[in-house]
Amino acid sequence: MSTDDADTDEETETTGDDDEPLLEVKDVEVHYKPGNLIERYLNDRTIRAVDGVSFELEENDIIVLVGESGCGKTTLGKAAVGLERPTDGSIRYKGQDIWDSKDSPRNADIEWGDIRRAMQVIHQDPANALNASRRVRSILADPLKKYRTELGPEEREETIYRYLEYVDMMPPEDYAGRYPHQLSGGEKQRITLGRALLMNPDIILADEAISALDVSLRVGMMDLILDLQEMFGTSYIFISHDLANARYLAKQAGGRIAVMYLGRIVEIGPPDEIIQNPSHPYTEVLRWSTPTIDPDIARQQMADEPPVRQLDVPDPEDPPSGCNFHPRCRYGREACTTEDPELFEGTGTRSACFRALPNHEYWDSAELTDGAEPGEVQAGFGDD
Amino acid sequence: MATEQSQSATTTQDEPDEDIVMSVRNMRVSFDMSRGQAWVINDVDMDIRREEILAVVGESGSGKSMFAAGLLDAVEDPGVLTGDITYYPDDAERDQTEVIGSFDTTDDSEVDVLGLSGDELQAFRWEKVSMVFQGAMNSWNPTMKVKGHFHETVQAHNAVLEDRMDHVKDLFEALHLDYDRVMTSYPHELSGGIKQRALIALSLVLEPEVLVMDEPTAALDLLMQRSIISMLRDLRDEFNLTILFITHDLPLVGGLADRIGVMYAFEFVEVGDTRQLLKDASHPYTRALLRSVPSIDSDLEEMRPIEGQRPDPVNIPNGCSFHPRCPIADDRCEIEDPDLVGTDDDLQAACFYPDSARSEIPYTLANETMEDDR
Amino acid sequence: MSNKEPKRDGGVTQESIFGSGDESERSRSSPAQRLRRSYNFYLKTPFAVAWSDWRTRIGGIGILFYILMGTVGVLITPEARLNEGDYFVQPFVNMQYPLGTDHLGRDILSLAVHSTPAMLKMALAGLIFAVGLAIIFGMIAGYKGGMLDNLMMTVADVFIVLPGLPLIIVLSAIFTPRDAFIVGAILSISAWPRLARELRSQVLALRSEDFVEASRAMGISTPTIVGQELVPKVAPYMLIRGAGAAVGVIRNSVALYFLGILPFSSENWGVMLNQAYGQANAVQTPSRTYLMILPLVLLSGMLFSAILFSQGLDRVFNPRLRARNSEGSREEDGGDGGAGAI
Repeated sequence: MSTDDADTDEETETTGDDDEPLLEVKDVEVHYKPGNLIERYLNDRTIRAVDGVSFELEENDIIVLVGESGCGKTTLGKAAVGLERPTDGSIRYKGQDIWDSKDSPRNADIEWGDIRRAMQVIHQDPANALNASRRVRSILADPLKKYRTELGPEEREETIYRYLEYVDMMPPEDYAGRYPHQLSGGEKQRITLGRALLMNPDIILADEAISALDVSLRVGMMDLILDLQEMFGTSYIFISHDLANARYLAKQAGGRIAVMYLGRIVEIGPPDEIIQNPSHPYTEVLRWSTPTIDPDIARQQMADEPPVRQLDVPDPEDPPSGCNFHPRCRYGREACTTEDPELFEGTGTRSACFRALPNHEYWDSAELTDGAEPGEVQAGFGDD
Repeated sequence: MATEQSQSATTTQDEPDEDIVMSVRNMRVSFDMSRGQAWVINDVDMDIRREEILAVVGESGSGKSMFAAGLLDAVEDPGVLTGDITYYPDDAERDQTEVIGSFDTTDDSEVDVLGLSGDELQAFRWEKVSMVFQGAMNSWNPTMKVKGHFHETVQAHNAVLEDRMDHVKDLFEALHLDYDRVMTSYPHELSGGIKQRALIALSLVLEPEVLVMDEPTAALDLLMQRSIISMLRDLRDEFNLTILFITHDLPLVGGLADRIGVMYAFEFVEVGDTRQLLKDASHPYTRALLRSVPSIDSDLEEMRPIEGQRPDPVNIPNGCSFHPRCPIADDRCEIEDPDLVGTDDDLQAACFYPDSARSEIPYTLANETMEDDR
Repeated sequence: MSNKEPKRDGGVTQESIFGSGDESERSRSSPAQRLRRSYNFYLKTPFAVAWSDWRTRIGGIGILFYILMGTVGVLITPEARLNEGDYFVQPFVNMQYPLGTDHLGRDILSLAVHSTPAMLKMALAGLIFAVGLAIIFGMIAGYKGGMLDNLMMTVADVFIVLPGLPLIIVLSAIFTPRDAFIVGAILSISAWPRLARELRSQVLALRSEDFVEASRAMGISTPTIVGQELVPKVAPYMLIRGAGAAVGVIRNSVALYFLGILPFSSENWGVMLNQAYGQANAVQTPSRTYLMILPLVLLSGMLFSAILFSQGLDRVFNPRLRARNSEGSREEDGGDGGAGAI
């Protein structure tokens, strides 16, 4: 690479192209074929973990992926930060397709190494995310040794101590010499956070980063993450199965919540709208499922039936035709079995439901009945 | 020492109150560890009222799971359990001719759980007091169909199979389970939610009076979790159950529980009517906890974490065990350990200054401004 | 944490907030302190942990004993010469030949002592080759996966399938190795492939761990990940199996020497056994059984020490024990330790 190219690269890296979003996820699919070699050859089963997702992430932006297990949020998150390769679709970092950059480095505007550095991950269980056989000092030195090569060993140590002080782990010299098992859950999580931040990344994927912590510590950790986010301008992709935590994160940071179901985003928008005015029936289900702490409201809610026709999630290998929520949807109609809705602009959010469109043929088609009253919960496996 | 002084307390040991199905006095569990003796239950008294749903709420390391295990005398070796745990069989049942299983209580007005022999204890568990453990949905035998598990349990307790399976049909209906399909399946063919519900049915097959559940919904999805909570209330109403629900998730039990007991540092710090406790708790820890748990409609600006770390069972702080982290603690709190005292109608807290707690640690439950936005 | 003011420096980047090379703030610990810390971490603590286990102590002393015998002992004990004493002198009879003499009048003790270097060399060769090849094949194949994995494992599988003992016999017949080191290397052929496969399984399991994923996300190179993250985790297992491999090599060598398949080049216990059996008919003659006992005892002792030592050594890699034995350690378990689910 000539020196000219090197200069332009640096420019692209630090200032960025104003028109390009920081991260663009477009029509991404991640399909697996389960089983071993022979099984895969003999049958045609595919698990569509992520089935056509698009979204954009700007600088200093937060998006929270919410959904139940099997909805694909973890797979999507990992694909978005380049830890898993999608089977279709593209992921662009500042305009550069990241897998193209890795496969054909010559043609890349942004090198794979820089992309890799810009996208980091914080895992759910801090006990697993830290190598139990290595001390804190050694773990935190990793990113510095790799990317801050101008620092000598003393300076590295200094940087590590400063980080430990910032996150209230004092005295830093003591903490630096500890093994992970000598740290509490919250402290461990602060180390994983530090490891990601010392890379100075642009995007961090936080995969259920607080669910392994004690309840009273979660707000503290979320606040810390939000503080650091503000300070360094990192963008975050949070993954959460808990709508209440998702609301806290998204609201404090002015981000969005994206509700996922069976590999797709079914609704995306600002947290207040999602929670108070859900457009998509599945969002309603999630909202209903999230307990409120006010005992009067909670007691009232106990009498409500769940707003689904079937309680159990369908088989991910055999998703329903048309809209993949229709078998459980309390508003399901014939039109939903044939056509697959995209994300339509609704009031305040974008929602993948025909009900967002006032003039769709949905409103003219017959209601779906399967022997149950709409809203009555059926016993069974949910795969009909 | 925490001594409960509720209105329905037993004054003498041989006159059981009708309302109480199990009572616990001076329960202690300790483990001998290389670095000292760990008191994982630190002198606990509790009364469980008949047909109530009592939620035991605490963070990890508070002792709640150990409390549950203690009720069934199921503390693992090398833990040592001491205290008085008494079970009061239902008066109506005492006149019953039909005894389900082998534990016969027709002659007893009370049962000393810790004094039961091995065989008696085995009969007692499942027939009188049943338990659903954490992660229990993984305890299904993968080589046996669901039906086999039920048959095995019934036969182990010498009960009549046909009657029991009829009862199971009712249970399955209440739990929204398809009897034929689930019974003939192997556990691996079923989803987590179905397995957990079937497990609840299995734990109720011999019609116990008390069901103890330790985080039964922790590994499940939101919808399933919420649905099971509703089902539990239905089960209680239909089958006259008493339910002890153990969890770390406070919002989860707001609608379910009649009473809540909050545990901290291996003892109860506040116990009482759910509504009173949630709306206006009197113990600083409960208030701080309510302030630190974001719920779907809480005021975000108010949220605060609780500073400090949970206590080490080997080194429980002197005096009030919460004092190192308590915003209103004073010298007295460092020396004296408060007992549970009544602070409201049906609310007791182990604190010297509940009024101070109320004024110093504010929290609100629902975001009032939200109501206006609609 | 939420009410702490971030250290701002006028809107500058993270670099200067969390430390750069600026001179105003000197480093916390001097080079001397860091050296001392390294010494603690890498030498003193592991030693303290190792010493705390009776197995390491006994095994370690045993191995030390053999090493001394093979080095110092060789120097102070004169070599056995033919006919230096009468044939078949019984042990504890003549103090010049404290453990007796063999059929050629050689002092048994010096024979045994002078055999030790050869045995040690064989053990070392076995250890190096078996473990070395296992590491190369197992860890790289396990971590990289794909075509490379298939290729390497096919090679390993070929060797697993080849019958070990006959292969070694044939190779010995062809190459007639005399140097103890080469004998050890050849004998390790049957040991390494199984080890490689076991190592590969462990690496496969570790590869999907979160902390490995985090390292990959940081862009750390494969060799660094393997060395930094994986080796400490598989080291205890490898040590024990490695010691087992060395032990196996020695046992095989004794067997082959006893059977007379390996050519005699130097003294070793297997040769001694062979001669005791063949030349002196020691098995059937009670008065000559002593000829077999010493080599057998020495052999057993060496193998036992090696196994004990490696088992004890696996504690060194346990971070909880290292923490406990560290200088100025505090027994905090972060609230997680204790009686399990509380």
